[in-house]
Formats: sequence, C-alpha cells, structure tokens
Amino acid sequence: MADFIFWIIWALIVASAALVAFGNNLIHSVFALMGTFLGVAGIYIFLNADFLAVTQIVVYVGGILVLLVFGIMLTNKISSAQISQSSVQKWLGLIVVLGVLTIILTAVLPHDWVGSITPMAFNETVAGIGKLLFTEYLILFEIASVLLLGALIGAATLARKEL
Amino acid sequence: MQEHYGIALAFGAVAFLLMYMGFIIQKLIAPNNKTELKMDTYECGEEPEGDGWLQFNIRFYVVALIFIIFDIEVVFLFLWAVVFKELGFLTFVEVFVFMAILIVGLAYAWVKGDLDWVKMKLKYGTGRYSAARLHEAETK
Amino acid sequence: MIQSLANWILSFDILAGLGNPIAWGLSLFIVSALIFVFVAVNAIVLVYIERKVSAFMQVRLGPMRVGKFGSLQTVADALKLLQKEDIIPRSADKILFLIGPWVILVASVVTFAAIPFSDTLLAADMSIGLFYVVSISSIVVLGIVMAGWASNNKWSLYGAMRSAAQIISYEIPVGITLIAVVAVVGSLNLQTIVQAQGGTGNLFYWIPLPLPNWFIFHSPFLFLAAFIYLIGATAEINRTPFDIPESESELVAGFMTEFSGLRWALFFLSEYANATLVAFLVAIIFLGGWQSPFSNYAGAQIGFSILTLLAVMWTLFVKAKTQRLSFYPLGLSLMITIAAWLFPGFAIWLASPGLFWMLIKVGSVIFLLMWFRWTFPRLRVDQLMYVSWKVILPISLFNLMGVAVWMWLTGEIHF
Repeated sequence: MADFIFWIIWALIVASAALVAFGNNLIHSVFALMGTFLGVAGIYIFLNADFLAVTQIVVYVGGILVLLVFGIMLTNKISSAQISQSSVQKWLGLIVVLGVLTIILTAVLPHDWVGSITPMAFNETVAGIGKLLFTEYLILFEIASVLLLGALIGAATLARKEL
Repeated sequence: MQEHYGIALAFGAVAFLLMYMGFIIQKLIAPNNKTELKMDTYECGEEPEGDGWLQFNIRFYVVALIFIIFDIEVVFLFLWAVVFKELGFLTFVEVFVFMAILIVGLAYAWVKGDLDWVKMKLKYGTGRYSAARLHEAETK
Repeated sequence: MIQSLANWILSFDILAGLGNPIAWGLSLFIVSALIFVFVAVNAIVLVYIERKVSAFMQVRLGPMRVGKFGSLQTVADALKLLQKEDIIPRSADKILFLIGPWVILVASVVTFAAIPFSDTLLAADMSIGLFYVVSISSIVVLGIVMAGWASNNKWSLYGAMRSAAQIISYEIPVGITLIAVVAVVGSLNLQTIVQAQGGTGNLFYWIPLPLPNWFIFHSPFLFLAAFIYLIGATAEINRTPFDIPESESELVAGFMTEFSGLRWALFFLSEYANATLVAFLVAIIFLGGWQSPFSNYAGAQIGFSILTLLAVMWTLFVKAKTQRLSFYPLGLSLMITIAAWLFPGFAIWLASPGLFWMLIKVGSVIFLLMWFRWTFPRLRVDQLMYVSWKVILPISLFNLMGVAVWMWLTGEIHF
C-alpha cells in the first residue's frame, strides 16, 4: 500500500510539474505547482522527515504560491492573450537540458542506491533539528535572520518604487 | 510515523468519496435546464461588463511578501519552542537576537508605510484619511 | 484508536479470519467516514444553533416551522441544496471551478486527523500535530483563491483576494501565540499538550486560587495569548467581525457568489468544520482539552455547588434588571449539583476526563464565536490590516518574550 501511494505521489509530482512547464495558462500553472509542492511534502514524509514536509506546506503552499497568485493579479489585462507563455529557443533549451541530464545521470547511475540503504526506526525529528540549530549551527541561524531582514527591506523597497 | 499521514490522506479521500455520492444523487434528482441567462456571470442583475479578472493593487503583493518572511520566522520559532525547556533560557537570548533583527524589518516597513492599507491622502475628503486629519495626527 | 478498533473487529469469531491489515484498513475507513459524518452533522446542527442563537440575541424566535422548534429546518435546507441545479457559469474557468471547493473541503477535513477528541479517541498521534494543523489549514487560502479566480466574477475575485490577504495576515500572530504555548510544553504533540494540563495549581503560579492547570491560567501572558489566538482564528475562518471577504452588503457572497447547490454546500461544510477546528484548538491548547476541570469527585461536588450559587445570583440579577424570572441556568445547575451530591458515581464521572468535557469546551468556544458575530460590527479592510500588523503582531511578539521570562522567573526552566 505504501509503495502504491508512493507511486501515486511520484506521478502527481511529475504530472503537475509537466503542467507547470508546458501549460499555456499561467494561473493553471500556478495551481499545478501546488500539486508538485504537496507531492514533494509527501516524499519528505516517506523519508521520515515530517517537520520538513509540514514546513514545505506552510512556506511553499501557504506562502510562496499565494505570493505567485498575487503577483499574477498585479498584471494588467490578465485574461487577454498575454497570459499564455510560449516556448522560445526550443533547440538551445533542449541542448542545455540534455547536457545537465547527462551530468546528473553520470553522478547518479554509478551509485548503488538500494544496497546502501539501512532501514532505520523513526525518531522524532523536531527536537533534533532544534537542538542542532541552537547549538552547532547557531551562527547560521542568526545569519538567516539577517538574510530575511534583507529580503524584507529589499522587497518592500522594490514594491514601493512601482507605486 | 508514516501511517499517521496515511490516515490523514484517508480522511481526505473518504470525505471526497462520501461527498461525491451527494453529487451523484444531485445529478439524479436535480433539474437540468440550462438557459443562456442562467449560465451568465452574476453581476447584480446587470449584463456582465468584461470579465472578472481584474488587475489588483500592489499592496496585496507587499502583504504577501512580508507574510512569507514572518512565516519563515514562525517556522524557526516552532523549532525553538520545542527545545526551549531542554536547552534552557540561554536559547531565548539567541532567539531574541533573531526576533529583534526581524522586528527591525517590521519597524522599517511600518515607518515607511508599507503596512498601511490606504496609502493615499484624500485632499478634500473628510474622515479618517482626509489630509487635514492626517496632518493633525502628524503634528501631534 | 484505529488499531484498537481493528482489534475489536478481529475479536469477533466470524471476522477473525480477516487478518490484521484488512481489519486495519476497514477500521481506517470506518473512522474516516465517522469523521466526515461528524463534520456534516456538526455543520447541520451548528447552523440550526447559530440561527437560534442569533434569533434569541435579537429577541426573535428563529426557525419554528419545520420540526419541533424548527429543529429540522437545516435538514430541510440540506435536502433543498441536494436538488438544486448544478450551474457552472459559461465564462468560468471550468477546471479550477470544479477543483477549488474540493481543495477547501478536503483540507479542512484532513486537519481533524490530528485532533485528540479524548485520551483514547485520536486518529493519528503525530509528533508535530500542532504544526501539522497550522500548515494544512494554510492550504485553504489557495482553495479560496482558486474558487474566486475560477468564477470569473468581480465579486468573487475581490472576495477571494481579500480573504487570502486577511488569512495570511492573521496567520503570523496566530502562529506566534501557538509558539508561546509550545514553549511551555516543549512538544508539538497535541496529546502531550493536553496531558500537560492535568491536575490543579495556583492561578498564575503565585495567586493562591486553586484552578485547573490549564494554560489559560498558566501566566498572564498565556491568558492574553488565548484572546489573541481567538481573535486571529476568528479572522482566519472569515467569521464576523472579520467577514469582509463575504460581506453581504458589499460583495454579494464573496468568493462563493457563483457557486450553487452542493458545490456551495462544500464551502459551507468546510466553513463550519473550520470553526469547529478552531474551537477544538482553543479547547486543547488553552482550556485543557479533555481534562476535567475538577481534580477529584469532591471537587466536582463543590464546583457545581459554587456554580449553583452563581446561577442564583445571576437569576436575581436578571430579575432586578428586566423583571423577568429565568430559571433555566439555575434549574440546570441545581439538578447537576443535587445529582453530584446524591450519587457519588455521577460526581466521579464528572471529575473524570473524557469526551464530555472536550465537547463542553468546544461548544462553549463555538457559542463565544456566535456571540462575537452578533455583538461586533464588521471591520473595514484597512482596519483589518491595521489590527493584524500593527496591533496583534507586536503584542504577540511581546507576549512570547513575556512567556519565556515568566518561565524563567517561576523556575520552570534553568538558565
């Protein structure tokens, strides 16, 4: 059953990602992205990373996607032909994609993935992540706040310029 | 652990199935008599003008941007809250620095007026956002 | 809970041959179906109660025709919805129009998986239950925007955008108040949070008033946090006074304008499911969940005696104010008190934790939400944003620091 659900999630991710990439309707693409994000959250669940999965939903589905929708709503004449996206430079894109794919495959294929798995019992992740974050990676945590501050101020300034 | 989320998934699936049965019943007993007017967009009895996909103000976007920043802060704070009792009060000082830096951002957005929903001043208007009232508030 | 139901199924001789996986799947289906029935029946009952409450608050009678005291009115309404024509507007974005309401409904039903109804009635004992509930309820925003966009109607899109902006604005203060509670417990598991609130202790640690160890009595900061949470949650579920996304006088029905029949019922179900969910969360996090307010059966007897005294005073107060004699609260509390003194078994049952107390607390919070609805006028959009970003958010951040310092002062944590 778990395998079955895993393949359904896999299909959901691939199908919705394809819809995002190839869809002609911008807003459909945004909502298809929700399927991808939820599917990735499902994959995190299969990796026993429950906190990461829920964070994925909070930040990406509840935050980034709303931002994308609001961004689209900013566009004037959204319903007219400008809404559709067209594929430009298909051949160049294909070459780049094939190149990247080759690099990834040469890295992925030689490794014996199935043999290197050691099944582990699930233990709670939240406390572990928290402890690491507030002891070993404290500096990074504080730097993250500066990064967020920069993002906040930059975003607010950019948005104000357009007014 | 995974079966907990499987249970959640089953809750959604069963709710979908049971509610869908209602839709099947509706299909069987409800009238199906579509007319041109019935399929029209509702605009208070008037004929719809253009389509409904309007352009929205940028302030929605700004609110969403600030929201994402604070959403990430909330995620970090959830992590802190779980280990707070275990690691002691010192982590609060660490998190206080984190919060203070973001509060600076909030204060910046506040002072610069990004948190105001109504940004314009009404020159000749009366009431809360009229120029006279705002000027009065500023000089106070 | 699901495993124990499966064990119960397997305990019958005829069904023992099913084997554990099938019995488990069967009980999973039963529990899921029960939750959906709970959500549906709950919505029907709550609509009736809401109409009656609003009627009584406005000195009206409310629904009276269908059934005794109009009690079958909402059932009749549901049947009416079932036979309405299913209309999808011509210019609507058909796919999103079909998906949108389902996203909202499924998201609000799925959250109930992590909610502990009592010490044993809990479907999924997730270690990050609280965070899970917060995250899944943030999916609702996208469902609303989807439905509003798909309608291709100006009212719908305005309502959806306002709703989305409102929900995301209030999610931050709500999250931060929840963090204050998590800091006290040190766990995100909802069952652990409830268990941490057992027994009796002093009010605010120092004031010698023996009250249950509920988090609302933990410190002045958590007391404040409960109210911040209630305000923020009211805004998140789009209820009055924060119902500008669907304010009838401005936006017809907000994002649900173009939906009719059962499709509209999906919104309706999820709206009441969300209201119930908020009530459950308030009960679990601040009011001790399924814990009984009485530590032992003598406590139950004395507690209800005090309640009867209060009811006597209330009756006299109402008599002095309005010249009307209303015996309902007095009669009810007197009956419970006499029963508690006469039958120790009843008092013991009152003092024991369980589903009864959970539902009492949830019902009280829902009543409070209805009371809000008929007491406060609707806020304006800019006032709404003002309250969220400039009032509640700073207060909740300050509150979080206050809780941390309080815990240090009372010696709950070391340095």
